[in-house]
Amino acid sequence: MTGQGDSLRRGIETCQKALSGELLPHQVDAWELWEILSRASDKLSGPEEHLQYAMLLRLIVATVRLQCRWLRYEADELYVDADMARQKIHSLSVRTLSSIFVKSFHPLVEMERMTARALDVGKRHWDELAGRGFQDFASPETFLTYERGSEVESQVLREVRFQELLEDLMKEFLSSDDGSDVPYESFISKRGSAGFSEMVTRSYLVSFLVTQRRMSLKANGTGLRLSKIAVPGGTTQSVAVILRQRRDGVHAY
Amino acid sequence: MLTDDELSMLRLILFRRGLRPGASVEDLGKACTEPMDKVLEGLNQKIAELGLEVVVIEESDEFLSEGRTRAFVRSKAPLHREELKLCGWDRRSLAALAVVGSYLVSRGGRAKEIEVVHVLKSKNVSARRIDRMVEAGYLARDDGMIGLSWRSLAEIDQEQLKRLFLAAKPPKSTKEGT
Repeated sequence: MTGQGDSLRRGIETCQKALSGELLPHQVDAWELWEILSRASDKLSGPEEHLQYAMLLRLIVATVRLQCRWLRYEADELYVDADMARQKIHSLSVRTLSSIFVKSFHPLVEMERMTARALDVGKRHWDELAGRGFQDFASPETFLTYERGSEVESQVLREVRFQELLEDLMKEFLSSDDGSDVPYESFISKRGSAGFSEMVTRSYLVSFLVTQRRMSLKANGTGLRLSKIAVPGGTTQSVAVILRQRRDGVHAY
Repeated sequence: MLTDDELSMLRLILFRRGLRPGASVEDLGKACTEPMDKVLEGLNQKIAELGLEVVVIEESDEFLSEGRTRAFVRSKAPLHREELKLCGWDRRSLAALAVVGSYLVSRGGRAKEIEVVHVLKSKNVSARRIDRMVEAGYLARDDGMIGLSWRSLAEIDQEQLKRLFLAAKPPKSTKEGT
């Protein structure tokens, strides 16, 4: 390789060091590299030197662009050097860093296209899932269904009657002799003596009492337990809302 | 009410074509009959009511290439932590992105991969998260260097992050590195 080829190669290596971060951009003398290029321009011999010449030219442009950006960055009032940044990150907790980050984070918004076929597949999947849920618990035929406005429904949901039912159940709960906690399943099934419909009604009423914070529901290793210790906070009033779903001609609440 | 040009622009940006969201400014220019800057300004004013904004960034995976400009729709105001959780962000991913993002932004957007790994490890965050962030478009890896990629440039307000990062003070009672 000629001396000219060597100087071109050295120039290329210097630029690559700056671009890969081995050297700081301002440590490269772009004028000196440019002079190497000027000297070589009319004395190139062979395709290899032409290639090196072109590569050095491209890398000098990239290095000067990097120097420009570096200068802008260093002149910024918010310039932080590497040690300072590391020290700062080390001193802050991950939680603090996350909080800071979240305040400057604006997630992108995008939409996925949905084809008619994908929509159909999705719908069928959800229908199957819902069906499986019912089957695992009990077949739809075993559910007792109430028609809107039926006598049974009015008995459960009529406002005065509903409040009375709640109060009766609360009294029963307070008078139970099982210490402070009562097993949930035992309570709603009246220790196994209640029929299915009564059990559903009692669990429905219990959910209101829990919502109103008059009793609390705890989960432990053996199952759910109802506690007489009321959850702190103001009591709230609940409104019964009927959710009805039609599945194969059967209404389920 | 959106004009035809604004609607067309919004559709092009919102519906994903290919691997990346958003649309190239070139494509948007072709779809508009009026000057693009004017359409973009009008669209930005209208979608601001929905808490969104259009941002145009230079899409450059290589630090030095000029690349093409690309427009994205993003949330105008930062989301709350709880909202981010609901959007599917888990705590650890967010923490990893926060650590790497803060470091890279304070270093001008680029640093050696080994430095980034060291910083992550010092905060007990797995270095494997880097690969996931590269896949998601938050980071770009190039010849031993890690830089912010197109998604970070679009989603992170770098100036704001740098200011908050510099202004943050470590709590006196908290142990270091926790």
